[in-house]
Amino acid sequence: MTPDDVATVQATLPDLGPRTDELARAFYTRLFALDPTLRPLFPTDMEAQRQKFVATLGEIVGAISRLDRFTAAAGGLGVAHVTHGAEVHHYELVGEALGWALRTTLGDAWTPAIGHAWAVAYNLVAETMMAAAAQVDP
Amino acid sequence: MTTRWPLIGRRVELDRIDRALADPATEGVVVFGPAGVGRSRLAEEARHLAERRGRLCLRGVASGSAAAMPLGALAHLLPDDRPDGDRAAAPPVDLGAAFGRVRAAVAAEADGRPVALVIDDLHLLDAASTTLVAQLVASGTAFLVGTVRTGDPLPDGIRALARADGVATVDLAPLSRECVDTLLHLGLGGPLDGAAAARLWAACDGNVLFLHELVVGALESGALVDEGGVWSLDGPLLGTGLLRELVEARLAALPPAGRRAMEALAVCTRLAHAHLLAVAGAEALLDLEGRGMIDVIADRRRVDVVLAEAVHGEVLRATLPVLRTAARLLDAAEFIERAGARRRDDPLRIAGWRLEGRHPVDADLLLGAAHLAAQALDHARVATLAEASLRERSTAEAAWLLGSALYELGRFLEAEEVFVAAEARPGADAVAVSLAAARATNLFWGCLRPEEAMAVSRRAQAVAPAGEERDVLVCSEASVLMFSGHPGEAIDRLDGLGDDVGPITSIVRAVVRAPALAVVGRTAEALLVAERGAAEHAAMGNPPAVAHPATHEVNRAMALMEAGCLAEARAVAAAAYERTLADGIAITRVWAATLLGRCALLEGRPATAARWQREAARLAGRVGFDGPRRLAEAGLAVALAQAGDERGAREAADLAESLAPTFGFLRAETHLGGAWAAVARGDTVAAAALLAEAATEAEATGHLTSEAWLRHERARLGHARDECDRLEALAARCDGEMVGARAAHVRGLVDDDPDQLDRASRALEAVGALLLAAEASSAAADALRRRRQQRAAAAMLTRATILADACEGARTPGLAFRDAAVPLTAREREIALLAAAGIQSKQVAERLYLSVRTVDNHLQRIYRKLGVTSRAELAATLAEEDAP
Repeated sequence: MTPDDVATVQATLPDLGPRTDELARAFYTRLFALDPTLRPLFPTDMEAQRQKFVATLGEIVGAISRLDRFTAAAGGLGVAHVTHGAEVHHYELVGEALGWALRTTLGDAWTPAIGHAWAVAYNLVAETMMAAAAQVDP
Repeated sequence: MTTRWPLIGRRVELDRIDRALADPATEGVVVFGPAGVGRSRLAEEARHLAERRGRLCLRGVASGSAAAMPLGALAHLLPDDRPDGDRAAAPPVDLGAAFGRVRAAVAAEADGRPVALVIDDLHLLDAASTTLVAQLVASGTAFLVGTVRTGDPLPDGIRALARADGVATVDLAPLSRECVDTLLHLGLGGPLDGAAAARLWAACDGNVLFLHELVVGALESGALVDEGGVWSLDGPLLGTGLLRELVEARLAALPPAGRRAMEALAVCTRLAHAHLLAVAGAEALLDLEGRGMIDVIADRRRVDVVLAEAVHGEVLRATLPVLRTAARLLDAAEFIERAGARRRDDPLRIAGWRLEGRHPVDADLLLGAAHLAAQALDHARVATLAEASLRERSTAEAAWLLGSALYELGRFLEAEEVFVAAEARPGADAVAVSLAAARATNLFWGCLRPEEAMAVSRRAQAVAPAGEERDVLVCSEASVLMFSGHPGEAIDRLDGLGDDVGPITSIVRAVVRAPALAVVGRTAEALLVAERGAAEHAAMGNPPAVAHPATHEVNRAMALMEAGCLAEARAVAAAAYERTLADGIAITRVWAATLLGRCALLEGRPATAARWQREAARLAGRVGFDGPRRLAEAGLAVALAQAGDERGAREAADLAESLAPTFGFLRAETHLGGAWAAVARGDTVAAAALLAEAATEAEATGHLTSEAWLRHERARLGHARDECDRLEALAARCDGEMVGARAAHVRGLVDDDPDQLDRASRALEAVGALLLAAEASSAAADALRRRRQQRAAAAMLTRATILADACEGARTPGLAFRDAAVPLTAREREIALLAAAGIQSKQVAERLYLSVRTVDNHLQRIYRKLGVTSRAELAATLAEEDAP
């Protein structure tokens, strides 16, 4: 990622402020629309899940500036997701849902540069998560 | 860089392989992909997966040399039953017998475990081995894990094996742009700047092996360097010996005609299809296209051919013998000339190629080519062509082009020599005006000699004929005035030209007038001028010796910034930055970057500001523009100080003060660096003194928006009363929202009026200055607390916190409340409660078995943490905290 991409990604959640819940809502709506079989992997009551999603997202993108911290955080997340039943092909769906959610939630504030920065960041996060997940014994 | 790169962008493929391994109905999996895409790596990962699933993995070795030997690939699997151990030399040739023996050997070694046979490069397998492998797979003896290189035709036997019904296939595509970014980020251990990432992406075409070799080569040659935590690329991408070998190996497989075409494309970059037909013939071109080595580009009426993989060109150019290079270049030039040289840029191509091919070229042709290159802003090429033209024939015109190009390339002293000599060359009268304007620019910007620059311009004005020629010189003089720190005089000089000016004058005037208007607070006019300049410039193409068209965008960003439209300013400056990045124009990119940094500072984003200013300073340093570099280093100092890096701030501030003393544009602002460095070390007295001096300088030079900034900074350090009146006067003189919002903030501080401070905070937030807005809200909270309106104060503090949260951890005296958010320790709370209950320090001390001095120290810390100044306020604050 370029330093600019990092800054753009790190500024998005603070810029959204209280609307991060809206982002999480859009994300899960889109994700379950893309693949309804994913719904049972999540709790019935999604409120806490959404908060967790926003917190984790903030934590992960915040860590990008420090590679050692980032690798540990994203790797841990990848391992945790295996135990929750995440599979490799889900990552693409999540990436699509996230991109869509950002676009809808940001509205007029969305720019191609923001879209690109997040695509690059998501790739970095997903690859790091999957690499760590691959180390888990089946 | 010795460690191995992570596997990126291949998880889906690996997942597919793992599923194939787990599926009892699947007999094997074969990975297809072009050279260098990462097949072998994937095969290796697949082997790990197979082992994890309990399989014994045996390797078959398919290599070019083994292919010559029947069953060579599997010979090592056979039991060693010959005394000399030379198994490969005399392999069994009876296939039926061999199958039986191999199968038995495999079964013995596997000892009941399932077996996987891993063969990289299946396409190199000899026919006998292919049959044997197919039998082993079909009989269920071994699961096949193989790779096949695409691009070359496959022998039938191997295709049958690799595409067999029970065998799953995985197609490896080149990596996506995102994956290449991720790979670079993780491989290098940190971010790359945008230019480096774009170049590596273009050169590797998603090919992992190329990427790796390019990066290793660039690290070895020193082209790729870590500059303050960001990797940056400066220099050619030569790759490594391995990369050259790889490319050579692919080229070696070409027939001579194809090789000729590749060489011609490598040295000429882009050639007409008709020319390549003449060079190599239709069959060779079809073959190259089929191998994916060339791309055919058809636009309107021309059909051109380029190399499909940039890295082929890099390697060919680096390895071609000089004479062969020259021959290919001269061939191409001759072909175009014979075809009539009808395209607009044909003279440039012919002259350039002949020159590179060490062939004498006509001086006029070279001069024409130099003009064309100047229009394309290819300054290095202009210099080469103009210099060659001068060698053939002495003309002032060629010298003017050469000097201008040298200036653009940052070779200022050489440029001045060329300009001085040009005045005595034939034809000097005809280009006198262009020469004087270019020389003045170089003297001012490059050599930092404003008086001489002004003298050159005035001398030329005296002899220039009235009209556009003289007007352009007036603009050049005004430019010197403006950038040596006299924006008001520059505007007067330009306004003296009147409305009836020529098209070039109009553009050049806009370039100077827009920033001059912005800094004297006439931002709306500045914006209009910059917009009109951009439109006029676009309508004319890119006339040489006129600024880069993105300069108008930079000026627009400046006007927007001074007007207080920070978000828009940022977007415009970013677009200008990208445009200059694409065109490789250093000076305009420096301006765009330093303005992005300045904008980030105004917005209250010190980390972002530091990044831009660092880039601007680095770039300005590289091309020798010390004036803008001074601004960038000073901006960097402010950003670092606000980010808490006191030492970095001091170093940058000292450096800034030492650079380009004659550069006057925004000069007073450069003292912000020293002032903030002082703030960072806690010396607000020195900071305020520096700011007072700087504000006086800004006032004297007519930089009104700078003056407002400096006075506002001083007011924020506790001198609101001194600065309030002058700021309000400035607000009345400057249009836009920025200065008014500053004045409102300071007025609120002076009156200690929470409503006024809240209004100021909202105005500052509206312009996008979040750090300033946070400080105003924090001050409003303090004022409310002093009025005992604790609840309203708490709400205001929450607002201040939210605003400050967007400020990338900025630390300023006005945000001291953030340190106060530290909770009290248990002991402090104990003391605080007793003190709030009205108990004197002495009694508190007795009760807690402490000395009075210790209690007082604790109390001071408590006051600081809570932002209170008396026991009454302390009591109120604690009560507020306890409230639900």
